[in-house]
Amino acid sequence: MNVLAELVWLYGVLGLLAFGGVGSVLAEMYRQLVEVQGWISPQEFRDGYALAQLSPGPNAHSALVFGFMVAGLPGALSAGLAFYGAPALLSALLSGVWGRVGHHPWARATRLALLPLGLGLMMSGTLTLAKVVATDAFAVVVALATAWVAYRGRTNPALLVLLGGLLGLLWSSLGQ
Amino acid sequence: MEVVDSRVRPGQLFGAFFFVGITGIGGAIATHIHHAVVERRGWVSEEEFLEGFTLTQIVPGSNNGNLAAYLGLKLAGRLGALAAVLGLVLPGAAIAVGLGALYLHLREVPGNLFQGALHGVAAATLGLSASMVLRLVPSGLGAKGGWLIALAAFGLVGLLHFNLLWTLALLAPLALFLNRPGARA
Repeated sequence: MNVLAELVWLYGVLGLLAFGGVGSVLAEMYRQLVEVQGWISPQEFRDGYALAQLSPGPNAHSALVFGFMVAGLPGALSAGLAFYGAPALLSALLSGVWGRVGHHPWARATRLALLPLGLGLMMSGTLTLAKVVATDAFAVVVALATAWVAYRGRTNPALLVLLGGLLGLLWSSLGQ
Repeated sequence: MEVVDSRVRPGQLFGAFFFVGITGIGGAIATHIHHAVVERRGWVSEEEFLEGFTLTQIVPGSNNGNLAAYLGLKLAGRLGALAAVLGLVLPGAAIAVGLGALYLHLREVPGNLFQGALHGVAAATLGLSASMVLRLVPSGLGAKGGWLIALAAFGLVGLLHFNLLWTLALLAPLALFLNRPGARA
């Protein structure tokens, strides 16, 4: 299959399975891009995901960064369109019928049933990130401190991401 | 697809969501969208916004992209949905691709500081991901069989690298059965 078609298929499916957001398909994204297809290295995955966090707007830009790494600008557009487009299409379709089914007992049951699944998948995504990111003491300390501050406080996540970048800059300029 | 409200033109939607897309950094993008369409412009009521917000939380994919599609369709039909999503996504997407190109170019340079900064960003992102897990624990365990479902999903996908599609096909019906309407704890 053409690589662009493969990207559209992969990200269309990932988008439609991303219950609770992008974090829930992160482990599968890694498995497909790095392990199954071998399109990018673990380090490129780590850095590409970090790059996407630096960009404003919704948090699914990593699809575009990885698409770009695999097949240049056409790859970025294919992955981005599929990852944002497929679920957005579903949302637009559902906005028409939601008024009728939203308060049905099975709709509530579905919402409840998805929560623990989302939790387990977010744990998987976090483990995937930890395996490629937590490679030295610096990363472990920054990750733990960020997790603690983000969990306890109401700090803007963007500030924490930028602070992490600044600390990384300082650390590497110290000769590490 | 019915158009509920046609006061708003797709171009206006694009503009409003483009502003959110370029200024909304980090989490809580929905707060920026709320400000843009409820507080600042009064395009939708609080109740309408909350309804859309709830729906787009359970639809898979980028919650904010989905919220834009929902509101865009409601306010200006199909073109409105397209305009809202594109407006929200384009600025950050362009920046992300630009950074990607810069990364591929710069990594040939040994010992560049960009690499060090990215390492720190990645570590902070890992921390944010972990804090998200901690925040999700109470609601995830609020469902019946929550621990079982969450640990099974983590074991299959996170530890065993099992295919996500098969995992969901296996666990979603089980979770739905445990939480079916009328089931008692």
